[in-house]
Amino acid sequence: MLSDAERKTLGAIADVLIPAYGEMPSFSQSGAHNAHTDRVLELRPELLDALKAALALGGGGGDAGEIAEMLNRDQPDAIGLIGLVASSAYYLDADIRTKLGYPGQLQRPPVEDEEYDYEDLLQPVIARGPIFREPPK
Amino acid sequence: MSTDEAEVLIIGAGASGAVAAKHLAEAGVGVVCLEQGGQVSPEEFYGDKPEWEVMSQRRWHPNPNVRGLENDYPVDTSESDVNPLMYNAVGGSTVLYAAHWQRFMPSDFRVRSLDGVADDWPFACEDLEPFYDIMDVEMGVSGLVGDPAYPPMTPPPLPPMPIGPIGKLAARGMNELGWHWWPAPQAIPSRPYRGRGQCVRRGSCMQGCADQAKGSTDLTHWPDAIRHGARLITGARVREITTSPSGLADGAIWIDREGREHRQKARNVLVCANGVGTPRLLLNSVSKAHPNGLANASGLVGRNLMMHPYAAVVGYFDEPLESWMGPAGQAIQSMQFYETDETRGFVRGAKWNAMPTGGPLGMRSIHGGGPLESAWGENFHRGTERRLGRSFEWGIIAEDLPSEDNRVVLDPELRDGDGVAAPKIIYRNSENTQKLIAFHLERQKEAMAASGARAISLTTLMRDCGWHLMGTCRMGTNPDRSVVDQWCRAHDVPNLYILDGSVFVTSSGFNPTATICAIALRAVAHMLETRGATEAV
Repeated sequence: MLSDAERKTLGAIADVLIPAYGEMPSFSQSGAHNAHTDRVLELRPELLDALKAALALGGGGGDAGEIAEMLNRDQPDAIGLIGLVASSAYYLDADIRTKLGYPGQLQRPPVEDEEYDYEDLLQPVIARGPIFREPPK
Repeated sequence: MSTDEAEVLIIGAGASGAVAAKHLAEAGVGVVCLEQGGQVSPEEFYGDKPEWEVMSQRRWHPNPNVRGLENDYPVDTSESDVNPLMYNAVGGSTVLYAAHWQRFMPSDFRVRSLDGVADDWPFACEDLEPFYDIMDVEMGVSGLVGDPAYPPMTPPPLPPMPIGPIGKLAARGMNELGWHWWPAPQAIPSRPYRGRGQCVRRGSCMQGCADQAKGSTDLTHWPDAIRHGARLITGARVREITTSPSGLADGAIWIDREGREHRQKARNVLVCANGVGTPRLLLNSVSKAHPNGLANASGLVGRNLMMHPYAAVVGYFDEPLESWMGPAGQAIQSMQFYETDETRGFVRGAKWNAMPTGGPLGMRSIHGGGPLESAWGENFHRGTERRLGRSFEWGIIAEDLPSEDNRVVLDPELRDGDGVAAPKIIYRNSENTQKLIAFHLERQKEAMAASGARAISLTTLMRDCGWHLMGTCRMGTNPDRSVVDQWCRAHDVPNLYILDGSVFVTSSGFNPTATICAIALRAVAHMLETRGATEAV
C-alpha cells in the first residue's frame, strides 16, 4: 500500500488532474485518496510499484501544478498512471456517482410493453422493402 | 499419462468446440475436449459490482496481452494494425463477447461472383440456414423477424430486446435520412429461457455476464455435452497434434497446470482454438509427414487472416439517454451500406451497430504527452458530463477482404508459459478497407447529425478490436487453394477437422459467432451422417 507521504503526493497531483468543478469535489475533497485508492490497488496490484515510482518523481515538494506539468512533459507514462489510478478511485465513490446521476450497472429487466414500442418508427423501413442482393444460383 | 483413445478429441471449449461436443455426445460419440483455460464462475465477474470498470481494464480485458493470465498465451502484435482479442476458458470468447447474433447475407457467400474479389464459399447461404435456425434456439436468440436486409427467415425464439432511448434516437436519425435500421438480434434472452434468467440490462456483457443470462456456450452447450458423456479437461494446453506413420492425426500432447505432459490418443481430431490459436497449433505440429505443419500442404495455414477493423462515431446529445444501460453490444443495426456500390470507390460494406457508451470511467486509458488540460483539470469533468448517459456510438464492422500477406506465423522467440512457440500477427489494413471505413465514417457523421448530436468524436481505427479471427485455414474445393473442404475436413489429413472462424473464406461485415456455430453444426451433422463410411467417427 501507499505510505502517508505517497498518499499525500498522490492527492496533491491528482487534485490538479481532478479539481473541484461545479458540484463536483476535487479528488482529495472526495476522499478518494484513501479507501478507494486502496481498493483500486488491491484489484490491480500490478500498478503499485509503478505508481510508487511515479509518485517519487513528483514527491519533492513544490507546486503540484508545476509538478504535474513537468511529469506530463518529461514522464508522460507517470502522469498517465497517476491519472488512471485517481480517476478509477474517484468514480468508485458513491457520492460522486450520485452527483453525476449515474446509478451504476443496475438490474433493469425488460417488461413486455417495452419490447416493441417503436412499431411506428419501423414502418418506413418496412415500407421501403428488401435491400439485400440475391446472388446468382 | 492418459492413453485411452477418444473417438473424437476436441481442442478448445469455445463456441465451435462446445457446439461440436454437445451434438456429438448427444449422438453417442465418445468425446474428450482439452481446454487450456478453466470454468469461469459468475462470482468472478464484476458487472454487478461498483468495481466493474476498474476490472475491465485488466482482468476482464479482451486482449490476452493485457490480461496476461496463466490460461492466456502471448501474441506478438508488433507488425499488426489491430490487436487480436479472445478469452481462453470453457465458453471461449463467448464469455466476453457482446452476443451480436448475426447471420451472413446471401451475397457474403458469393463475393467473387458478385464483386470479382476474394473467393466464393463452397456452399451457399441457404445450405447454412437450417443450422442457423437450430443455433438460434440453442443460444436463446432475441430478435424481430422481417428485417428487409435479409431474405425471409425463421423467427428467433424470443422477442427482441427493447431498443431503449439510444436505439430510438438512432432510429429517428436513420428515418430522417431514409436509411435502413432494425432492432438488433442478440444471443441474449429477453425473457427467461431454458434455465437461464432474463437479461437485466446491466450493460456489462463484455466483461462477462454476472447474471448468467447471456448466451455463452459454457452455459448453453457444455452442460448438455457433459450430461451426455463428453469429458472436458480444463487447464490443458495442447502443445501439438500428433500423427501416425501414415500421416493421420492420432491424438495430442498437452500440458497441465503443474507442467506435466500428457498424451491423449484419438481417432479423430477437431481443432476449435480460434483463428489465431488454430493455425498456431497446426504450425507447431510438425512431423516427417507434415514438415510445414499439419494440414499445410497448401502453405495457407495461418494466411488470409481477417479481423474486422472497427471504426466508430460517438454522438453527444443534450437529453439524458441512460446510455450506460445494456445490452452492451447493440440496440439497433443498419445494413444501409452493406452491399457493394462501385460508385463509392471500394467493394463490399459494413454493418453498423448503435451501442451504449458505458459508465463514467469508460475507455479512459492512460493519457500522457498531450497538453495536460486536454484530458485533465476541468476538461476531465466536462468530458464525463458530455458523455456519461448522453451519448451513443455508431460502430462499423468493416468487411475485411482476405490477403495472404495478412497472417499468423510462429514467433521465433516468444513462448507461452509452457515454452510453446507463441503466434505473431502480421496484419495491415488494405486500401479497400481504408476507403470503406472513410466512407462509412462520413455517413455515420450524417446519421449522428440527423439524430441531433450536438458534438461527435471519431475513432478511425480501434486497435483493440480484433474480436473476429477468421480465414487462417480457409475452406474450398481446391486443395492447392484451401486447407479444409466444405465439411471442415482437412484436405491433407482426412481425420482432422477445423471448426472455428479459421475456415471462413471471406469475413462478411457481420459479427461471426452465429456463422462459426452454424458451420460447426453443419460439419458435425455431416460427420454423423457419414459415420462409419470414412475415418470420421
